[in-house]
Amino acid sequence: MGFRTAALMLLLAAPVQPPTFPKDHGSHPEAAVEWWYYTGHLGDAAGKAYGFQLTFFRARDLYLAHFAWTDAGAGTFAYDEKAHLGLPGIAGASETGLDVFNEDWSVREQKGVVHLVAGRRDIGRLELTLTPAKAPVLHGGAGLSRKGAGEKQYSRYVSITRFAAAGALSRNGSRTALSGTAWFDHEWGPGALPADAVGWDWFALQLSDGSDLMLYRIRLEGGASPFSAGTFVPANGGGPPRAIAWSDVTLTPLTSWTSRRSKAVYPARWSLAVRSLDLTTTVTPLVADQELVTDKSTGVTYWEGACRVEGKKDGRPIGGRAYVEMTGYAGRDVPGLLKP
Amino acid sequence: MPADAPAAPSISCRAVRKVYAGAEPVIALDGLDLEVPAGEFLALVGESGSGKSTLLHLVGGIDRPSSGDIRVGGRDIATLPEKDLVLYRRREVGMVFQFFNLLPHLTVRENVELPRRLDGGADAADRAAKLLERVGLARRAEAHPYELSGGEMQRVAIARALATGARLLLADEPTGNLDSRNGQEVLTLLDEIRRERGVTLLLATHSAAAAARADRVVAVKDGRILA
Amino acid sequence: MNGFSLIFCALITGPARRHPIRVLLPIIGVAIGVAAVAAIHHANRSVTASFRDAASAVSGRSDFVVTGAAGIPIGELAALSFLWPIGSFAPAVAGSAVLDDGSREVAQVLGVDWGGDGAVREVRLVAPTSRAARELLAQKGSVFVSVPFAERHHLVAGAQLLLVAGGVRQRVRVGGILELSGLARASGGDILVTDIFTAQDLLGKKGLVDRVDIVLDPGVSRADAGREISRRLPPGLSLEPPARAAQTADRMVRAFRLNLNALGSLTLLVGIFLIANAVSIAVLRRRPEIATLRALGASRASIFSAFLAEGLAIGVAGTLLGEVLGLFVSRAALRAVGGTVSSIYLPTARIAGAGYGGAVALAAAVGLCAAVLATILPAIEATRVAPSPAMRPGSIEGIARRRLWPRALGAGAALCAAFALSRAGPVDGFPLFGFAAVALVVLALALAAPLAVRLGAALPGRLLGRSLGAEGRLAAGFFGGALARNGIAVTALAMALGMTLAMIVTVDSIRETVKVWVESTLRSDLWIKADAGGRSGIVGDLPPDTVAFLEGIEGVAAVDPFRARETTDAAGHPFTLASGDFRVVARVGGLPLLGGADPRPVALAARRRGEVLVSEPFARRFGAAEGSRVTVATPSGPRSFRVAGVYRDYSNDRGTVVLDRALYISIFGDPRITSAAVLAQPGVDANALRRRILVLAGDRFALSISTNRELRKEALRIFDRTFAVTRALEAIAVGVAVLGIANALLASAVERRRSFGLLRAIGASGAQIRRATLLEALLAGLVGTAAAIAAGAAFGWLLLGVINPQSFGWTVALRVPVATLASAALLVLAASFLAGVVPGRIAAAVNPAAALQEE
Repeated sequence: MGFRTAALMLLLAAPVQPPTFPKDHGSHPEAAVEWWYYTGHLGDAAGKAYGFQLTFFRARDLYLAHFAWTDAGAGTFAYDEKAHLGLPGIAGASETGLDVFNEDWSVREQKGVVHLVAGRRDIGRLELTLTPAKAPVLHGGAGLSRKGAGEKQYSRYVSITRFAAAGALSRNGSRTALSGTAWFDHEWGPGALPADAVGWDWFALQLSDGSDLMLYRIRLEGGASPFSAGTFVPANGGGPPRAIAWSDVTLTPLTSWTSRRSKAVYPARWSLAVRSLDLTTTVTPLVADQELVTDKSTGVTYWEGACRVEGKKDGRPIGGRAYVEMTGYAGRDVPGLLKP
Repeated sequence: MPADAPAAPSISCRAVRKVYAGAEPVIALDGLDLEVPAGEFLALVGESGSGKSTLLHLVGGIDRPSSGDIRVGGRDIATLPEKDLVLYRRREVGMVFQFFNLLPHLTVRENVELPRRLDGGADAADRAAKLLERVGLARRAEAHPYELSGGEMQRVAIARALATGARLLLADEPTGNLDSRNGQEVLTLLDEIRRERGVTLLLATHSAAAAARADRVVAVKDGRILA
Repeated sequence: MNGFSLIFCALITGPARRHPIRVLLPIIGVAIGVAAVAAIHHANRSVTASFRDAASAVSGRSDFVVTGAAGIPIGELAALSFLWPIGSFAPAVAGSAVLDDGSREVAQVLGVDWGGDGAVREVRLVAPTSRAARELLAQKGSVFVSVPFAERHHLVAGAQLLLVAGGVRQRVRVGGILELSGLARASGGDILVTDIFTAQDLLGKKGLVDRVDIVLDPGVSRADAGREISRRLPPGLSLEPPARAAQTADRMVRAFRLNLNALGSLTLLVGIFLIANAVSIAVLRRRPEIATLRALGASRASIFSAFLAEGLAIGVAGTLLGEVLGLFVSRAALRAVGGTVSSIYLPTARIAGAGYGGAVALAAAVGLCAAVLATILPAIEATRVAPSPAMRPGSIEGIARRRLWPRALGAGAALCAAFALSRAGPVDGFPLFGFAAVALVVLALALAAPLAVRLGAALPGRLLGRSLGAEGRLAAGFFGGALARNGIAVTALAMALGMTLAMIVTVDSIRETVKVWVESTLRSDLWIKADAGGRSGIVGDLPPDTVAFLEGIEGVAAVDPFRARETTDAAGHPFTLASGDFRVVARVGGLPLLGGADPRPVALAARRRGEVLVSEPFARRFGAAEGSRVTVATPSGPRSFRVAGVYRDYSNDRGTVVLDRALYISIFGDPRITSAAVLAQPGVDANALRRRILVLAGDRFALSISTNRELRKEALRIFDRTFAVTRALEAIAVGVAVLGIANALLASAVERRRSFGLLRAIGASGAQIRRATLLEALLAGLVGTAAAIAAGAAFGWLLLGVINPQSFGWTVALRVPVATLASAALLVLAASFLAGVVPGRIAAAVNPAAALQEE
């Protein structure tokens, strides 16, 4: 047993305070890094499909936010970003419950229901009410998710993998009523990654049988990914969430897509199988270009987009939606608060 | 470009008075009458203060009479507006003074060219060269007045008086500041030139020798012509 | 050559070649005037442009700026969050710091909202380039500096920087180096850019920001948004256009700048008289040539044009020379003006040289206009020369003689008008009518000068004749014989010398007044402020606990904490809002009230009733008086206070409103102090106490402590520095005027060759003629000086009684430094006597035979 594994065992053995809600949906200033991640799949009355992503980051005093909107019918993708110090009226997060904002984007919980507002002049203003369909899930042990062997290479990780979403997109006086599902991830911690990490891939699948699957993979130099894992959340009534070991997962890129902006080459379609779940799927982006180049805030260039899921589970055909995030394909991530 | 004055003018003065204002007004001319036919060489003689110079200034248009008519070539110059009077002085009269009145900062050539230049004549240089040749000073063209003798200065002044082709020449004691030899030379030059060019010449002088060259001599006393 | 150029050669260039010095003098005169105008304009423009650049570097693209009466409590930013759908807003914390790295330089500190600030201000990071190094960005305590600043202080990213800010010695880390563009241009690159929280810690402004810049999205109506913002702003906050900061800074130094301008114009005015002098001399000299030209048929217009062209030629030559001269002078002027601005008004102001082009254009226009103006009258005189030689030279003097009394009457009228104008109030804080009255006095001087020359020739002429015999009589005759010309020369001298004498009286009176005031005001033994790197001004303030610290030191009898901050009234006129402990005033006085009342009971009553004391400049500027009310912006909105008294103050020309410290803190919630006066217990040595305080302050406070004596000396040193520019300008004007006298005498000597020849012919010796010429010079100097004393009295009265109170708001006790005035007058007299040397030599050297030959 190597020294690294010993240290890891020690840390894993350390008691972790289980989070309490709603307080722990709020901010944790003692953590260097924290983020609140909302993704969702929506449809309008005409049956057209949309996807959204709204992320609030906090790095010490600095508050960042990304919002992306995918219009599957039109085949378009648009996003915006914000960056501020935490200042009243500008950006901030409550420590007592879910109340995070950056300029006029916000998510706030009132009486168990989450109100989400975001937008951009040319995209429109998205206002959604998210009603939780499942209880919070604690990833890793009691919500402690390892990102590497180092002392600070972990985060506290809580998800609510399924909400019923209802609301509208207003733009230039016209209003499109929308409904669908949403997903919430909340992580906080020292935020460190292994020195040899080159990026990560993250999958959030909402399957048509009511079950959800989260998987993440930290890619190290040389292709290994020892600190990768996942959580399976059965449909309500299907039992408690189950941790998924990476050894259980087969993930194969099927095609690739090259960004004209960043020249990055991303996997564009995946074959994803989890043996213990008897699940084999193909994950296909709704729109090929769902890349974010965030010079004005985090400086990270990444692909995050709405996808379609098709496959089999327990031998039966199954469908679903997914959000996939892929980072580290456009070279090293560089925070770009100041223009180089 | 203005042409030379067409012909030598006649001069007609009728009841010309000139009074200089002051605490004690000085009557320089007192009802003077004078007729000078075209082309005549008239000598005006008289003592200092008799009014000779005043008469020449009035005829030359550099001063105006207090009353009376002065007709030159039939035109009343006493009532000419200032603008026309300037042109009259410039084109129709040439004046020669006792003290030469050359401009010290201009060369001989520039002094002679000046009147024609004032008139915008492009032939000023040409004329000046010919006139200086005529008065025998072509070789001193680039000298300044103070480098010349008195006789030479007066010859330059005569050349300058003729520069615009005036047919009326007024000479106010032209020999008064010269020795007799130079004086004679200047008088000879004036006489020759007025014959060559057909010029009416009025000469104010003290000198009997000078007066003797004139076609006619009239005496001026107390601002009147002595009959 | 055409006709005109022949005339020009005959009348102008020919004579100029013969006597170049006569043309040279007015050219030099104009050159000096133009140089002064160009240099002062350049310095002034640089000040304004620097303020504008500094303000625009900080305000960036902003459409509006929100400021607060006592800073903006950070929580109140939430009131602006309605703006996000239509624009952005960026708060900032501003202040200054002294570098503790041996350079003792002052730098501006600006804390911004990293990330969001880009909507308003731009910065470009040039170093570090690696990702890991850039992560310093997100760390508190990092400051960013511009490339030139980093080079000058040998800083690299990650280096430590020691500085004094908020009265405390602190250490910051250099997070990166910024390109000298956008925000980094503020204060000429001497700026430390950091995050809001670090700036708050550095400057002791916890929970406060100083400004919020608002940028509206394209297509949003500024007017509507402005109204909406104003409606939603909490009380105590106000909305301004971003140019307001530059305007306010500009207004602070406005009186100073305008007075410089007026003085520069004076130098040029003397130059105008020199040209007029030179051209009228030329006209007089060349009367025979003019007559001949007229007889030959030259028109009046061409004579006029020739002399106008001469004036213009002098003007052009003088202007060209002046512009070159101005280039050098402007550097000195810029240093002097920039020094004054940063030592007295704004310590972090960096006055950078603006383009010289604007100054060149203005000075050229002014110089040429002056030349034309100066030439018109003499050129008109030239056209009056008749073609007939009947009018003898000197008859223009006859005209001057006939006009003597009507002109003197005109002079009287001008003086009356000047008096009437002096009664009028300032226009927008500028003593416009006061300066107009000065111009009228100059006019009166010009009109009365020939009469003065006549009287000067008549009265002392008799005396001179008796005591100095023939030469004296001759000199008086020479002098009185050229009324017109000598009149102009005497006017120029009287004007320049008169203004100098007046300024001597003014400056001396103010200096003496300030000295007395400083002595009666500075009752404390020590004066303590934040370490300002040895500067006389204030850079940054002190933490509130300084007061308790000082009070706890053995040997300290009392501490008077003073707080001062710049603010503006509703119309944007700047003034200083201050607080002091009225109990200390009640104990030791030291606040001289207008009217001489005892300040102690007044201070006590003011403290009891919540009233304020205002300074005299404030009272004048804002029309306040004892018993009236003044309105001050406070965090809870505008509040009106009764004025309990007006006190004399010469330290600040904007005006000051003083509240009792307890009242101030209760309203503004601002316990920090700007400076503190310390009274030592009886028998405690001030120097020993200072040492004790410094030792005890240790690393806790970074203090600068002056003793009473040092402070008094410092006050007078600042004063003298402020008036250094004024004095230099005065000296220049007098020098130019003496040149004018020399020119007039020289012209006379050349003109009177025939007279000199005649005098020699009838038996005068060369020495006698030289003496007569020297005496004439002395006479010119005497008459000029006498006129100068009369004019100086008028100027002095206008400066002290009208212009000074209107531009600075100071009451000044008149003090006439007789010795200084007398030595100035004697110096000028000696100079004008010497001006007769060269003409005397020329006159004595005249060959009688040759001179008589000349007509």
